[in-house]
Amino acid sequence: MYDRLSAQVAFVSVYIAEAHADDEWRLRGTVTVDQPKTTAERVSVAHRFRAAMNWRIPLLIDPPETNAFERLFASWPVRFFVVDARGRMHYIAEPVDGTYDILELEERVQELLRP
Amino acid sequence: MVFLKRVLRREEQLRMCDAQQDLFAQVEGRFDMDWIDLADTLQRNVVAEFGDGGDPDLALRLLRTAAKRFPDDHEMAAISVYRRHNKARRGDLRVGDVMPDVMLAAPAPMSLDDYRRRHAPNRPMVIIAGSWT
Repeated sequence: MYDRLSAQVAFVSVYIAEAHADDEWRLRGTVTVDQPKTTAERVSVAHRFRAAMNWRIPLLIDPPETNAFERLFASWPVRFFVVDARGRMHYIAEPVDGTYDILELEERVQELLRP
Repeated sequence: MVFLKRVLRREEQLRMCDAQQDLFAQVEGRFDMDWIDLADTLQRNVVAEFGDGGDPDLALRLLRTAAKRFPDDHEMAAISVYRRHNKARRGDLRVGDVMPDVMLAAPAPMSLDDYRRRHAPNRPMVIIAGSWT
């Protein structure tokens, strides 16, 4: 989707609080991360993530000192948003049965691209 | 309530033990199942362990909603990891609202609205929020 639409749509990712930090909601997997307490710690984890996952979408960091993005967008553990060209919220993903419909995200993006 | 707390503590014990954590790790990256399926099985096993022959689905619902059913019992709410650390909520943001502006970090401090004006002037923007874990 990023590759197909990035000429028409800006994409940005925001690195927020860990969903399954090892010192909080432990869930063993291929990566083990304690919940970052400082911006420097979260930046470090985000850089490791970007390298490990070959993540190409621009990445901004929600500072753990405030978690301001998470507080305003209620984005934990993961959430998608579409903002229209005027800066208004066009789509706020709502999970169904604990997951998101990625096709719905693209449909809502496409709505804004139609003439 | 004492009995319910015993059941929740047993679930917590099993959920956090190495064997269960290894199972969680084994399904990472699979498309046919994930950790939520394993947690569901674990909860069903706990209900069966404590069951008295009653309706297992009813017991399962009671297990999963225990903290909500007894909102003033802080001990109940603190037993399960998925209650202690669940930050998920719908929030107050609604479609049609002006995108909230917020200061973000890296590569340099920048407000989200400044980012949008710089990188998405006159075009939509998709925001993907999440973490590695």
